[in-house]
Formats: sequence, C-alpha cells, structure tokens
Amino acid sequence: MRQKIFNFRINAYLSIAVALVLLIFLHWVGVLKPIEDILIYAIKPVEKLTYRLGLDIFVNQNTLTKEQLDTENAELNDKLSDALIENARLRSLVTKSETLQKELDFLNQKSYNAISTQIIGKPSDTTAQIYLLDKGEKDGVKVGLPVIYLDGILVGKIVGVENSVAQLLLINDSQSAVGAQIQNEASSPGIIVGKLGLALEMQFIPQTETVAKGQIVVTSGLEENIPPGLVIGQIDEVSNKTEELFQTATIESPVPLERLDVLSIIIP
Amino acid sequence: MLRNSALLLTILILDIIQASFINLAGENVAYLNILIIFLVFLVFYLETVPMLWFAFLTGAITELFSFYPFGIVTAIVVTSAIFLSFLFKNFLTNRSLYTFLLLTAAGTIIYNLLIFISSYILYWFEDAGISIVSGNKFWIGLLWQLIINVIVALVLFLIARIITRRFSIIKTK
Repeated sequence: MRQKIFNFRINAYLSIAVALVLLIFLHWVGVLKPIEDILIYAIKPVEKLTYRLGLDIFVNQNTLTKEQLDTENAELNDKLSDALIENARLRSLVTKSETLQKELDFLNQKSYNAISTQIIGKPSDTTAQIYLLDKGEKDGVKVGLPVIYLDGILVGKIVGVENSVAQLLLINDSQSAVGAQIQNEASSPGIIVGKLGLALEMQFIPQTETVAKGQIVVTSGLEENIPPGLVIGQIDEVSNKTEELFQTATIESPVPLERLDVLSIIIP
Repeated sequence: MLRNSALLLTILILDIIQASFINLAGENVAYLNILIIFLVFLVFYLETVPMLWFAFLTGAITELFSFYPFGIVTAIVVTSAIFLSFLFKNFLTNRSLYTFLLLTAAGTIIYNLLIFISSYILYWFEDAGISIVSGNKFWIGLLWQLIINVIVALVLFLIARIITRRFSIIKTK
C-alpha cells in the first residue's frame, strides 16, 4: 500500500504555495494581463461611482459651523488682499522677466497635452498618499508625469502605471520631492517635500535669498516631464536660522489635497 | 458552485468598497480594514482547505488595488489566514462572539505587522515607491485599526447571528 508522503493539510499548504508562485510567475510573464485588464475594466465604473458616493457622504459630514465659516471668511479676505498686492508687484516683474521667459520658451520647445483623469480608489496596504487613477499605459500615461488640479496646480506625480490604471503619489507624501522656485526677484530655488501627508515644505532655499510669506511657489522645470510654472502653493511660514546652511519654508497648497476628484495628467 | 460564486463576488465587492470608499473616508473611518474581518468569517465558516483557497483568491483580487509588487499582498493575506486558522483550531474552543473578536484583533495585528515588515524589506531592496511608516504613526494607526475593526466585527457578527444559526456556540474540538 502506498504511503502518503505528506498528510492532507500539508498537501493543502504546499498547493497554496505552488499556486502563489505560479500566480506571480504568470503575472510577470504577462499571461494574466488580459484577465487583469478585463477585471479592472469591469471594476472601474463601479469604483468611480463608489468614490463619488464616498466623496458626497464624507465631504458633507465635514461641513463647517457658522463660527468656523466666519473665521475662514476673514482669513480668505486677508489672503485676497495679500494676493492683490502680490499681483501688482508681479506685474512689475513681468517686464524684467520677459527676456528670461523668452529663453525659457526657447528651451521648452516641446508643447504638452493634458488628459483628464479621475481618482477611483486608494490601496489599503500602504499609508503613503497614493491614489489610483482611471487612466493607464494605453492612454499614454508614464511614470514621472505631473498631475494637476484646476488651472495648473501641481498635486502629485505618477509613480506606477498598469495598462488602464495609474498610481498617483500626492505632493504632500513623505516620498515626494519636486524641484521648485519661488516667484520672488531672485527666483529662489528649492525642493518641495511632503511631510507625512499633512503639509508641504520647501527645503534647500539659499540663506542669501529673501523669502517672504505669501510668495507663490511654482515648479522649476528642472525635472524631466514636469514643465516649469505649475503652481504648487504659497509660502506660509519661513524658517531662517543663521546656524543652518539653508532656509526652509512651509508651503500651503491652494487646493484640499485629501478631497481631489477630477485631475489632469500632463503628457509631454 | 453557487456558494463559491457568491463568495467570489463578495470578495470583489469588498475590495471595491475598501479601495474606493473606506480608504478615502476622512478621520478614523479610513482605518477600517474590512478584508481582515472577511478573513475571520472565512476561518469561522469554512473548513481549512477551502478557507485557504478563498484567502488566496482574496489576496489575488486585492493585488489589483495594491501598490506593492505583485504577489506580496496575496502572500500576506494567505499567511494571515493560516495564522488565524492555527489560532482558532488550537487555542480557541468555540465559535462565540469573543472568539470572533479575538481573531479579528489577532488578524489585524498580524496583517499590519506583515505589511510593515514587507515595506522594510522592499525598501532595503531599493524599491523607490515604497515608503516606510515611522514608528509612532504605525503604532497609532494599528491601534485605531484594532478599535475600528473590532467594533465593525462586533456589529457584523451580531447581524450574521441573526441571519444564520451557524455562529451559535459550537465546540471546535
């Protein structure tokens, strides 16, 4: 009588292990790709509906009280006044920067297009600020492309692409780093880094540069695929310690990064 | 056949709800991980072999929504299921509410620890897309997830008990 080498339970565990290895192998050689694409294609409309439902429910729950609205209104009025003053000052800078702008235009010969995309979900196995978008490789999306909201406000970059979905890393994630410059007289350079999904900070601003609250920060265009001039935010606070080599500034994004919906991916 | 199809559809629906609804909720609701509670239901409801295969399918479908390299999440889900099954069969004596809640807590801890360990391993293999959670944030998040998962598991268990008599106290040994 033939003896069993392993008992029933160990056979089951071995079968699962073999199935797992096979699953990974079939994925990497591309055999599972049609099945994955079909599943994602079937799921995407449901994900969009579910996301919209969640947005309606959870955004409605986050309504402000009257007192909070009054406070926010007062703050916005102050910001509007500051923005008008800044606008006037920037107009005077336009003339000085025209020559520089022409040089930049000459360097940026390739024009870019933008495709609209929508957030459909968020992986639950990571605490990173990563969202799933409904456009993928077949739509021309590649890793490293910038993602904007409204009129050119940078909200993140593409960090992963499948055939019909992509992964967006928000600009306020700790893994995010974007080359930027401040719209001041010196066009002070720096790096915008995320702080645990809660805030933005501009680092490596030279000590010799004059940086002030309210100045607008834009992309520097030094990174591949990210054009210059995309708005990142406004300086909220400046940290200028003489014992340190560089200044840092806290940046406030003009959009609520945790409540994004329809976005645009810039295709170079 | 009908039961298997229903379970498969349930896995798909739960994954969609988790990725597109729960994970995007504000404040502490986003800590809820409904897939762990589903794993506990599998351990309670199914025998070992079908439970393992459905855990495998749960992991495989969750891969579609995952940021990790393909296979990691499936391995973590299956390992968590094996651990829960071991705990259930060897240390817990009945299918009571307390057993269910204990398994939910244990499943939450083991799942999150495996994710934590995987993120470190992948980080050291220079997978630039993986971020390591800093100490305090991980433990605070785990605590919140424990609380939320146990509360939701309690509610779901009571609902399941009303619907079916399978969750009455039955000795497993």
